This record gives sequence, structure tokens and C-alpha cells, in this order.
Amino acid sequence: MSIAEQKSVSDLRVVYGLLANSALKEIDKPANDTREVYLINLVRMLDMYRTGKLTGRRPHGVLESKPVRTYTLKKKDNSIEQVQYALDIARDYASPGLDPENFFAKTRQTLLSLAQKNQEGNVTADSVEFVKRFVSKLAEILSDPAVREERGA
Amino acid sequence: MLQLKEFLKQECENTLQLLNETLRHAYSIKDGKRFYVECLTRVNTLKKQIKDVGEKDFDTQGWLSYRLSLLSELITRIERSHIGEFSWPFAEYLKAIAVDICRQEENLPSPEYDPLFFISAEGGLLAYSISFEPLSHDMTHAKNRIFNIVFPRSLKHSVLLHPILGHEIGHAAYSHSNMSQRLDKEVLEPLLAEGLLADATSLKRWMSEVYSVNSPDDAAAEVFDDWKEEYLCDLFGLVIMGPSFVSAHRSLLRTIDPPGYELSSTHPPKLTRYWMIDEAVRYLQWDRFAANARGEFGRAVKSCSSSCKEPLRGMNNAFKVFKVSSIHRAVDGLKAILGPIPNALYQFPALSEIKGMATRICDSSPPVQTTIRKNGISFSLENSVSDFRTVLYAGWLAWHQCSVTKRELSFQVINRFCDTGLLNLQALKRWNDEAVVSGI
Repeated sequence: MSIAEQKSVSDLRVVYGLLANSALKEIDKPANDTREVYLINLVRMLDMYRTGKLTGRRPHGVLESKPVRTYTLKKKDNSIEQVQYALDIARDYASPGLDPENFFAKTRQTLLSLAQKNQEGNVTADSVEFVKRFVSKLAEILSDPAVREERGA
Repeated sequence: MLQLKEFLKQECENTLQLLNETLRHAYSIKDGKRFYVECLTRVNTLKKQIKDVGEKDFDTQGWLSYRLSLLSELITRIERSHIGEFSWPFAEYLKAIAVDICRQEENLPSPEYDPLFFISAEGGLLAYSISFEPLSHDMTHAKNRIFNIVFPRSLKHSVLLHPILGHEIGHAAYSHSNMSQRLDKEVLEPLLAEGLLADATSLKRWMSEVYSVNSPDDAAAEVFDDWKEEYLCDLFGLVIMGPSFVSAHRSLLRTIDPPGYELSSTHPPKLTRYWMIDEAVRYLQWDRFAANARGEFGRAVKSCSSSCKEPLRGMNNAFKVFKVSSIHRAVDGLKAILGPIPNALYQFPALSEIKGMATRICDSSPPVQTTIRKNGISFSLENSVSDFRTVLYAGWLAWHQCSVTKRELSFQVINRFCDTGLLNLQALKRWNDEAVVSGI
């Protein structure tokens, strides 16, 4: 087994936490490629969240059939539920009382405009603050050592 | 020892050097720059994240190490993508369909955020695949998603088997959250609603009754998720690739499980898939030539259909895991989703078109032809450009036509004719496109 194969399961809390923290550091900086990557991926993350598709599943090739294995006890991976929880809290914090679909539409459009280098002028300061509230809360929850430690429980 | 963070910083520089030594100057002219720029963006983003990560944050450092390793692997795979190792006309057609489907459903500005596809060949009969990372894995450092279409090196010219990749495009499409949600609701929900595999509990019961295998609830849930995606991708492959998908799918799947009832945790039993696909073909009326085609071609159609049914002879009814009406509704759902995407759905051809192609192949000619017309002192081509998938369907029918008429044309030779046909089609399309631009 190669070294890469040994790393089979990724902790989605680390992934989303890294994304939120990185985006937060860049969001107020002038347009650059790295900032664009973070913001466009926040849009993708929102799409996955909105459609209930937060997952790290990897599909199998059509001819990559594997026989039924003897079931072995696995540590339950609840990182998806925890990311979902963090997103729920962050959304509620940024937009208390706002209808979810309105939240997704508003946040997606703001992030998309910020990501595209020629669209930034179309974003109001209020919208930027709104998005920052959401991302900073998300980063805060996912960076919480208590959340991280729970993985090892 | 090297501290992990220091190691990662150095490995970033190594990866950057690897990138500059390979993709900066190589690859095809058309896409080379986009791959180079995307990989450069990824290295620079990882570099920044490594610089910022806390000295004691080993979770994040571990993740960054993993991503950096995969990036250098990706760069190496792109570098090894050689155009001479696969049928590039087929690959170009496939890529165009895949990009259209994935672009449409990600709903981000195009072409800036379009997915990138590169093509490579690997050893082994079972190499057919489209590999990609789950979206959540890419999202810390990638601007564009990168997909890798893989062909078996030994089957370079076997274009009649390549439609199997339609199944893999299904996986790529299902990895987009917007598309995935629609596929769940409009295809999988109707497909699974009333059959024997409605949910993990019924799957568990079915495995126990048919295979005497008792599975814990957790394992059954995991198997259920995998199986339903495979059924979906089979239907997906069928509606985008057309009838040639059926022959390719059955030919290849029999190489790994000839009887078709192996129980796998990743894929449903093949008999259930063959049966589902055949019901979908009937519903789409893609078996219509069997009723009205006459002569050698009519016998070829019947031979093709009969050979595909052969693995299902004597099949236990327990493998009919869906209601037939559910399969119909699932096909309707797929057509509704893919219909608005240009060229995504296969359009069944007229009898005269497919018969002409199959007959030409049997006469040892490439299937695609055009007429040169003289207008005064100039010449023009009279083209009606066919669909590349019709060429593949014609190839399968020609194989059966040669068989029933005892013509000695090998499968390999028929594949070469079809491969040439795909190349001709591209030339004709280009002629037509340029004629439109230049106002001819």
C-alpha cells in the first residue's frame, strides 16, 4: 500500500475550516488569484450545503467492482454532520430570520461578484460585511478545538 | 528530521519546479496553457496555506501534505497524456459532451470556471474510467475542477467499446451538487420508489433472501448509496451514448463476471443492470428496427439484440429489482434534465442512415461519406453530418451483419473503420463550420 493510499478518509471539518479561515484572511485584500479560488469555492460549498450534498464520497469506476467485504467495525465519521451544523449556525448568525433561499441567493451572488476581478464594483459594503459575518462565524466554529477533538472521541 | 511545515514548504518549491519542467512547454497547444495556469494556481494557493498554518495544527498540515502529494501526481499524469495512445476523435467528442454537461450544472460563469478534462491511457482491460477528486477535496485550492478520462491502452482503436465511458460521465455529472440534487429527485426517486431496493432496509432484506448474506445496517446503507449511483450512471450512459452503450457495457462487464450475479459492495449485480438497461431500451423504442428492418440488415439487428439478451436467459425474477414503470419514469427524468443541454441526449437515427453506414462498413469502407458537387468552376461538399454515436451503433450492427452473412471482417477491422469514420466526421464538421464562417 502506498503512502497516499493509507490516507483514505479525510476530515471534512479540516477542509471546510481551512477554506473558511483562508477566505477570511483574503476577503478584504485587492483581487488576486488565491482570493478568487477561495471565494469561488465558498460558492461551491454553499451550493453543496443548499442541496444537501456535503459529502466526501468517491465514486467507483464502472469496471472497478469489489466483492462484498467482511464487515469490520469502523469509527463513525460524523464530520459531515458537524460541518452541516457549523453552516447552520453561521447562516443563522449572519442572517437571523432571513429565508434560506434568500440567504443562498444573496451570499452566492456577493461571493461570485467578489471572486470575479471585473465585478467587484457591483458589491455594496453592506453585502461584503454580511458575507464576512457568515464566513468568520463558520471559521470560528470549525476551528474550535472542542470540535476538532471530538473527532478523536 | 525535517519539521513537517518546513518539509511542505520545500515540497511546494519542488512541485513548482516539476510543473515548470513539464506542463509549461508540453501538452497540446489548445489546452496546455489552461492546465499549466490551473496547476500553478493550486501550487501558489497551497504555498500560501502552508505559510499560514499553525506550527502545531497537524490536522491541517496533514491535509496540505496529502493535497500537495496529489497535485504532483496530477501534474505527472497530465504530462503522460499522449495523443497517440487513444482514439482522439472519440476522446474529443466525449470531452465536448462531458464539459457541456458539467458546465451547465455547476452554474458558474463560463468558460472561466469550466471543468478541464485531460485524456490518458493506462494498462489493463478494466482501465476505462473518469477519475476526479470529490468536490469537497478540491475546494481548498482549485479554481477549475480537473477530470481525467482514461482509456485502456490495448483497446486504443476499439472505439465500439468506448461508449462505456458514458457511465463515467454520469459519475462526473453526479458530483455536481445542483445536477446531483435533480438526479436524485427526478431519476433515482422514481426508479427506487416501488421496487425491491427502495432503501437500505429493503436492500438488506433482498441480499439476505437472494444471496443469504446478512449485512449490518451501516454496511447496507453504504452499499445502498453505491448501488443507486451505479444504476443511475448506467441509465445516464445509455441515454447519452445510445444503443452502442448496451453492447459495450455487456461485452466489458462479462469480462469481470461472466455469469453476472456476483455480489459486490460497490456495484449492483450485473444481471439487474442488464435487465434494467434492456427495459429502458424498449421504452426508448431503440429496438424498433427489429420489427421493420428486412434482409441482411434486419438479420443483423436481430442478431445484435439476441446476443445482448443471451446473458439474461434463465435469469431468476429476483433480479428484476424495479417496477418496469419506475424505469420508464427514471428515463423520462433523465431526458428532462439532459434535454436542454445541446447534443447531450442521443437522437435515434433514421433506418436509411444507419443501414447505409452498416452496409458501407461490411463493404470494407469507412461509414461516413460525402458527395462532391460541381457548381460551375467551384466544388462543394454536400454534407449532412451524422452523430458520432450513430457511427458506433452502425459499427455494432455491421459486426453482426458480417457475422450473419459470413463475411470475414474482424472486430478489430470494423473498429478501425469506425475510428476512421469519426475522424471523417470531424473533418466534415470543420468544413461545415468554416463554410458558415466564410459565407460559402
